[in-house]
Amino acid sequence: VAGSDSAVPEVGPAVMARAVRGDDHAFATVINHYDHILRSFTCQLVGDNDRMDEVLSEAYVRAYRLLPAYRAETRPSTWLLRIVYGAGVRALGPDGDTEAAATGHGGGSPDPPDDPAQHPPEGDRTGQLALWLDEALAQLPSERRAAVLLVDGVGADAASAADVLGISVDELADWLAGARPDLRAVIAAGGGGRRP
Amino acid sequence: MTEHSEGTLRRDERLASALAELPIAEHADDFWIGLDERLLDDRRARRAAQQASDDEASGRAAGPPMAVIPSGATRPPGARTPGAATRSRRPYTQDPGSIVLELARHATDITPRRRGPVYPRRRARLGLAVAVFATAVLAVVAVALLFGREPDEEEAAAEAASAAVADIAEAMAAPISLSGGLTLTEFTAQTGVPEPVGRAYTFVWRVDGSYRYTLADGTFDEAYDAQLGTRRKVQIAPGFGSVVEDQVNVPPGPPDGVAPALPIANAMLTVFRAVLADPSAATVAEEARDGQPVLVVDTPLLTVGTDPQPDRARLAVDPDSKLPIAVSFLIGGQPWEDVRVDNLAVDAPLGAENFVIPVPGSASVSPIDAGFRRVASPAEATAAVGYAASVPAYLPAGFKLAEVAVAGQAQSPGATNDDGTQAPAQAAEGLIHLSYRRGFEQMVVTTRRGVTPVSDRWTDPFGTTPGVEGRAIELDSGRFDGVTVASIQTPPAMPHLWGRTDELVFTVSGILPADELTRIANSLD
Repeated sequence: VAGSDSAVPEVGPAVMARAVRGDDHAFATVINHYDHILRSFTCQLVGDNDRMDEVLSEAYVRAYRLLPAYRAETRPSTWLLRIVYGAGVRALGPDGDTEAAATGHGGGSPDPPDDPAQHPPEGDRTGQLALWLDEALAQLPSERRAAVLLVDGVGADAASAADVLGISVDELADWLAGARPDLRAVIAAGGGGRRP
Repeated sequence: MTEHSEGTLRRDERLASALAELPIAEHADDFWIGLDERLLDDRRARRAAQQASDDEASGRAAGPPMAVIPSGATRPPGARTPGAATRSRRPYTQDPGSIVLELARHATDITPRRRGPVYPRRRARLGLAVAVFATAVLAVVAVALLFGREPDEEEAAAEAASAAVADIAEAMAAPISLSGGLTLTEFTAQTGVPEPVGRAYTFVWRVDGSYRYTLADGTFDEAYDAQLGTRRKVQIAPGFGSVVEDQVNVPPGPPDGVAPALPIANAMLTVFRAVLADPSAATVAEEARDGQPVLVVDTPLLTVGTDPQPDRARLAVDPDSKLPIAVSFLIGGQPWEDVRVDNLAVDAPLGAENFVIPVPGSASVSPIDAGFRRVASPAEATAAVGYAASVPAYLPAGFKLAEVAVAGQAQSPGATNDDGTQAPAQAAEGLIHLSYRRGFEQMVVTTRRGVTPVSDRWTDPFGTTPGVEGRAIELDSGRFDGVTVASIQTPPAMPHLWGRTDELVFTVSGILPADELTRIANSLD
């Protein structure tokens, strides 16, 4: 898309066009192309592996049904993320909470050390930071979590992310501004091996 | 844009790097196989539905040929020819094995992407995937050789739009009542003022078409009781008094009047009408609205006349329940009006008292009697008018009898001449209206005895538009077997057919395809 600063590599327009025309091989190619990105987004959005599979299965079936309505003006990644986000919101329910948030930590990861002075060995710091970041993400309201995952995780440009979330770009800015400070604090503290 | 948004909207590279370190879960071993089963189930269900439709179409094709009256009659824009209808039902998938093939291939290609200890997963059962792969290869090759084809994208889109509207209509057939909030917002393009003007109402609606909606500040209230045929509208101007409009014995529907309806009902029916007229122009997409997933049917609208009016509508429904969330009207891409439903409650018990508006103390009421008295049943209507009511044996799925009314006499508009003048109104006696409903949709069967001028001089009771001709269809069964009716689908007219015998003029109308209206007419007893 001209003028886009999206970091998402898109599938070729010819492949997408073939999928729309009913070519199942092309549809599978499209799904294969985006599956990694969509797993990355969904996994952190819903915070649970089984639910990730449920969400993506539901989303892929919906995408298959909705293919005839796809329009080439829409970036394929945006179209798919919109469907996946919709399925994710439904899976999260009206409260929008991940299982991780409900239980106090994400994805079955171990609790961070309680002692603020405990510094893990250098080689473990990256893994430890990931766990804390995962936990901080789970504590965010789901729509703000989605905003961060889209812009900072997936690399979607602002217009695409707003489109996926069904909000204006201004609202997206507000959501990002509300979500990032906690995550930055985790990175700043965790990078030194300290629990944020 | 707010002060902070320019920088905020850029990707935070440090955060992006940290997020990139988060583990990405793999799919469970059976994910692709399970997805494949779901996709194939979905395809089988669609093919079964399509086969049923094709069988039905084949049956129609074997019937008597349809004539055209008069010669040169036009086909409504977007209406499908029988051949096109058959093509549009063609599945857009190519063969039964290709999804299996590709997904099985993907299963064999899975490479571990996990980093870190989180999200433990089982390994893929590659043996099963490979077996499926091998089977699928044979199926793909065989089927591709036999049935290679390239469905038309536009027809597929039309199919998707029609299917989406059918799904929504089917979902709307289930609730016996709806209630909640209703917000009407008018935008600058319509009002001329810079800020949108919004009004919030509460509403109740019952499956027979009864409704009430009340402005939050109490200055507007409107109710329709379909069982009684009464409609009351109260408007209060603080400091000036109240205006009450009362109608009794309201016609249940066309051609003798427009059925009263909630704004959300009218808005949805506008979308249904547009998609029926030209499904290929509509699109269906899953979107998010205010962070929530919605399914959107987007369709251009036919504009009539020179006054500014919306040229496009977008109906948003809940993707799961298919119940309405909002209808947005646009003009030249700019918002014109929004009708939005909030806090929707389904199947709350509603009695007659829910549709009664008390008259403000100082207001005087002078009801207008439209003459369509409600009766309990078609049998009672038969007794009232002196000839047998025509009850359809066939109804499209989900439609149920909602109102029965009789009128001693009524007048229908005469034909509009080519020079724009109007022929004299057509008087009739002994009218029967049978109103059937499916959610907000309505299908109405009417019969009436023609009086002077005699019935063979009758023109369409809906009125006529110069240049718009009906398609002649000879009914081949039922009470009106052998009668040639005129079928009109051209917008903006309500889709309908009408015919006459020596004694009766009859109509069947509703936002339904011509073949459905014809099938109903063929089943009248």
